[in-house]
Amino acid sequence: MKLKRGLSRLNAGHLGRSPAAVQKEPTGLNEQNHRNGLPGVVHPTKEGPLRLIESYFSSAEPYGNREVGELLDYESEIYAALAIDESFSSVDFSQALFLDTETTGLAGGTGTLPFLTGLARFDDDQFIVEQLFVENYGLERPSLEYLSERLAQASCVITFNGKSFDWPLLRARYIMNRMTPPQPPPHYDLLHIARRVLKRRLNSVRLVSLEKHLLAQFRQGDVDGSEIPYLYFDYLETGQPGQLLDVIRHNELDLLAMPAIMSWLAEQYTNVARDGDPFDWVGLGLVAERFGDDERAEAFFDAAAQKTGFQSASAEAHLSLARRCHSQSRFEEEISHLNVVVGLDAGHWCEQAHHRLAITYEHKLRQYDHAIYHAGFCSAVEGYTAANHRLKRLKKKVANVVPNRQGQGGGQL
Amino acid sequence: MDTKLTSLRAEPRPLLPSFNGLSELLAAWRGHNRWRNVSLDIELPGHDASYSSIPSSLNAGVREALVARGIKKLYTHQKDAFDAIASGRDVVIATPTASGKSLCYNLPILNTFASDPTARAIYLFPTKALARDQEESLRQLMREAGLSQGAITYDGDTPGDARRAARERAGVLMTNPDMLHSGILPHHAQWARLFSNLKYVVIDELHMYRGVFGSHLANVVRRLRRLANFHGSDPVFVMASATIGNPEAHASAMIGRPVSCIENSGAPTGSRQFIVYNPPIVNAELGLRASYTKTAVSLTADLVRAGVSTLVFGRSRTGVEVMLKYIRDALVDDPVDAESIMAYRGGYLPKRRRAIEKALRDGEIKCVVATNALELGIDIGALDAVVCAGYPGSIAAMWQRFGRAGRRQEASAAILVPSSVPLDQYFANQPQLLVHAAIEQARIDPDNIEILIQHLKCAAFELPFQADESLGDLGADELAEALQFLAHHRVVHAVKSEEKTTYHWASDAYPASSVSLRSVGWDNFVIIDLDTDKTLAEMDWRSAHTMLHEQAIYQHDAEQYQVEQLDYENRKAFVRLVKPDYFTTAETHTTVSVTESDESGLVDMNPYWTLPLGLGEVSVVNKVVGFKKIRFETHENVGFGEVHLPAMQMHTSAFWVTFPEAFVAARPEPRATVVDALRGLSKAMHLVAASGLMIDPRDLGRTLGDRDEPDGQLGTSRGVGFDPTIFLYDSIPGGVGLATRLFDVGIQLLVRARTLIETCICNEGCPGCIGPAAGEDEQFSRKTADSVQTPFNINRRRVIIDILNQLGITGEQ
Repeated sequence: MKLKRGLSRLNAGHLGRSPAAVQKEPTGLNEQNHRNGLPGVVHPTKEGPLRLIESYFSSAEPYGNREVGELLDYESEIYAALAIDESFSSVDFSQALFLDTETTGLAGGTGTLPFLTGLARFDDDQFIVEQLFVENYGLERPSLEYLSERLAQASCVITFNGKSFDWPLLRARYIMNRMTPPQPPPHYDLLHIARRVLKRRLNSVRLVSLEKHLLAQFRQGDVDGSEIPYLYFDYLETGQPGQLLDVIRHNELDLLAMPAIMSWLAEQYTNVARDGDPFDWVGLGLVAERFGDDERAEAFFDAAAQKTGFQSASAEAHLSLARRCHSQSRFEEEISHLNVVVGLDAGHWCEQAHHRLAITYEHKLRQYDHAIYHAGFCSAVEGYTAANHRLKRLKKKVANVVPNRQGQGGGQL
Repeated sequence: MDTKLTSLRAEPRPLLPSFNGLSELLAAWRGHNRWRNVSLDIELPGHDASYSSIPSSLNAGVREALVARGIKKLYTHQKDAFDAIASGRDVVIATPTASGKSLCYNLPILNTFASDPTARAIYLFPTKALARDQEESLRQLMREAGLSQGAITYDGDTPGDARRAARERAGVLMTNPDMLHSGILPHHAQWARLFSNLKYVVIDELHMYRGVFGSHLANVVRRLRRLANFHGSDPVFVMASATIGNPEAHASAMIGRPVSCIENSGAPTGSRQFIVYNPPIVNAELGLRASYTKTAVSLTADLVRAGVSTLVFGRSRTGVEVMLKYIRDALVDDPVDAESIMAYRGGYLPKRRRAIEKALRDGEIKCVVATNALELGIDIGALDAVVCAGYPGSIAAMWQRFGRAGRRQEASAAILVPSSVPLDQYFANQPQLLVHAAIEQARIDPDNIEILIQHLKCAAFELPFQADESLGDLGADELAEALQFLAHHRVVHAVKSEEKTTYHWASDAYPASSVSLRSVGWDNFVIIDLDTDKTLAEMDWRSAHTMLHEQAIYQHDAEQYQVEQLDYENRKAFVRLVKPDYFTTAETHTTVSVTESDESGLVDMNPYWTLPLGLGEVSVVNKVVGFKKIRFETHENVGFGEVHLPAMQMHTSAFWVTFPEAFVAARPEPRATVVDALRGLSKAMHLVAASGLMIDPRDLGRTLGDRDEPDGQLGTSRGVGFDPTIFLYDSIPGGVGLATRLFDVGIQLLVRARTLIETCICNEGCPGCIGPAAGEDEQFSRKTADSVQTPFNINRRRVIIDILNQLGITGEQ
């Protein structure tokens, strides 16, 4: 079958594109159209022309119920704690670079092009947004070069899911353009940090969802993310920016949202349980605990534990406190925390409490009758077989009980 | 009824001495009247090893690792391969099973690693299992040679940490074509270290990559070479193949440039007794023979009783399970542990397969009944006998199976039990052909437009195309044409500047994810045991239609399960253990309709008749319409049921011959008889096409239909206006050029078919030439020819010859 004839027989269905998309005849590229209506200024660089869209904000620029500059009111130590990464305590966040890209797809791989790279940084009392726009395929080098320079000057790079999405994609672009990928400064990925704190309360921790719930910021007429690749393809075909302007605005809002969300988190972490949501307090307590700030952790757990009306937040806090008591061999205290949980209407947290009680009664306090009682609730946590095994073992222990020579109360019935 | 077999089974075995070992058994067999059924019994002599010394340029560490394994010299082909690869030539090694092919490529590659620590290699195996098989032994060899590069299997099961290590460190990346295609090439920037230091690409089991899979792989290789060049490397390709007719041409088509071929094996082989045992004739009138599976079972039982380790190859998964059950039943009174007789087939979970392989190597298992899954280079050691139940479809596959027989020192046996299908009987009657016939050629068509265009999309995603670029052996002009086509459909975006045009991927989709390299295999059904809620096995999409429809008896490890529910959407079959006295076999209805006629010719046969021949694109629809229940042992039909499953559609190329209505009407016989005769003729044409033209018969489909009415039912009720048409089509989506070859042969195919029919020994048509008469399901008759009836009192063979006479086709000169 000759190639030409074969091609004529293929239809658009073979290509995985809808016929509607194909019917629109490409209009070809028109240099003049391309320059029409795009914001920003084209700068000549040694790698070629670079379209740079600059926007200057005051650091008092409001975003939702915050100002972007509030980020700098908090010590680096706080941000290090939120990231559970001590190395960020020595980072000067006033020199940080915020980064967010808009791309031709979410699948990743070398065929996905980040066509808009948004950068933002503080400069004295200003917050400067720079957006690097790739006007066509094959014209990435100037923006990549510019990004390298900005990264070299930054103390750290702050992204939302950049560790697994934006940065690998950008890194691939350097290789595709035969450029050396820069060694990026420390990477502060807000997605993971926010998720740890907020996952108990919010089903979605996407950026727009966070800003709505934390900052009371509601975007008007924001572009639908799944449309973005097609808006760029349309622009390439027609030369008319059209809705691409909305994409540029969308990217700018993302860059403003990041510092605002960071300062919200820092404030919550600093002012223990002054306001806010008990579910977040549990998350913040666990973060503090993992960072080694035991005092703050306990304060968060205590606050959440005592809050009435939030049964499962209270239960998880009590369980966390119980876990701390257990590791410090304060078993009586542990048991009183766990008994509170058992008394709550808190579903699987209660089952976990029973499980912990069964373990402590058996192995620490050797009060097998209590252990047997709680072991009866363990199958949901450890599975039927293991729970049954535990029960059998305990019954054997009760039967074989010998008076404890040290007289430490073991084996009393 | 096959009374002969039954009586054989009932024969009292000699009490003492019982047969001990192969030679005693062979002597006993030869003295028995059953040996009348043997159509060939010859010794294929073995040959001694020919050695070369270990090349002096081999690194000392690698040499020591060899010596530590007791290897002090190489077989000649290993040395030849070493020299060729070391000098930078692309090589294909085509030597028999178990001739030490992996050392052919491992030695020169490890030698490179020793002098260049940054060097990398990719090893491709057709399945995940084969890669994992090789991983451990290669790692051990590398360790012993003091090489620290390591080897890592990279497939869908590789955990995250190991993936990173594979990207950054592994000297040898062992993977499969599917993973390379969808998981590595589209992310090549992350694999920059691998691609920029890529010195070798090994393609093992090259013979597996034919037809559609091979055509896909050739395009994956084009993409791989393109990306390697982008990263600054140009790897040497080393391919290893089982014996095929055209290793050099096939390998060179695969990588798009010439290769050196190493075919002369220096490895020793023991002598083999090659026996063709045709099941006895049970009905001479109808040309019917006893069941080949039962015959194979009875021979195998004798072998196992005599303590001969035996590998039995069956035709299908069902066939394998049926034979396993029969063999165990036959040996139930013998001191043979049922657990030492096992089945081995695709669909068994990997852990179970590993256990069987190990038990075989260790000699704990005496007999394995396998599908073609064991044709591959899985390390199971050698056995004393191989029984092949049914001709495996190609000479190449047959020798590959028989290659499993033969330990170095002792004689072994290779026994073929032909089935009643035409091709089998063709060879059974002319068994010398099996020894002397040329081995089939593997064919691929990398420029198959459907396949090519999918890979161009993937390649554009991976790296923009320059307008003047070529892709392997695909020229710049043709590539440019295809790219313009893609640009027109807005799949790629053309960027024009003064000096050049570049084509960039312009979609948010990730193209590799929608391109499967195999027509089947990705879309598996899982089989779930309702009693235990455990996954029993997996089955590919196409087979699931015939084997997992509701009420089907699914056989697994000699147990029978009934399919209670088939969740087609979610690809799940729920089965329950049952003890039926029957198994099921599905009936498939095939329709072919012409979608595009490419070439047509009118052949003037004589002053009166003209036959239209055609070549073009067709849509082939296979639909499972029902099933039959077949009783174990007696193989009688004890019931049937309907199946309601979606049809399977495929677009492919076909060659066809139309017999005009006027011609049919002018025949003196009833219309139904003529149509039935033409069906018989199509069978003979399929047979000669497959054996005479070296086409693997599994790659060629056949049906009799109506040229213009796709839904036209075959049969007798159709009246005037129905032009019976014989279709022979590529059983591969998109086709790989078989139909084109048939069109080129054209009317000669009918001439050869006539010769076949005339030389057949039967009286009025048998499964060996034109097949059973209408109304008999072929798949069924293959399993049991016992119950065939002739609906017509007319000699079908005579009718076909008459028809051919009338058309002036007089046979070969």
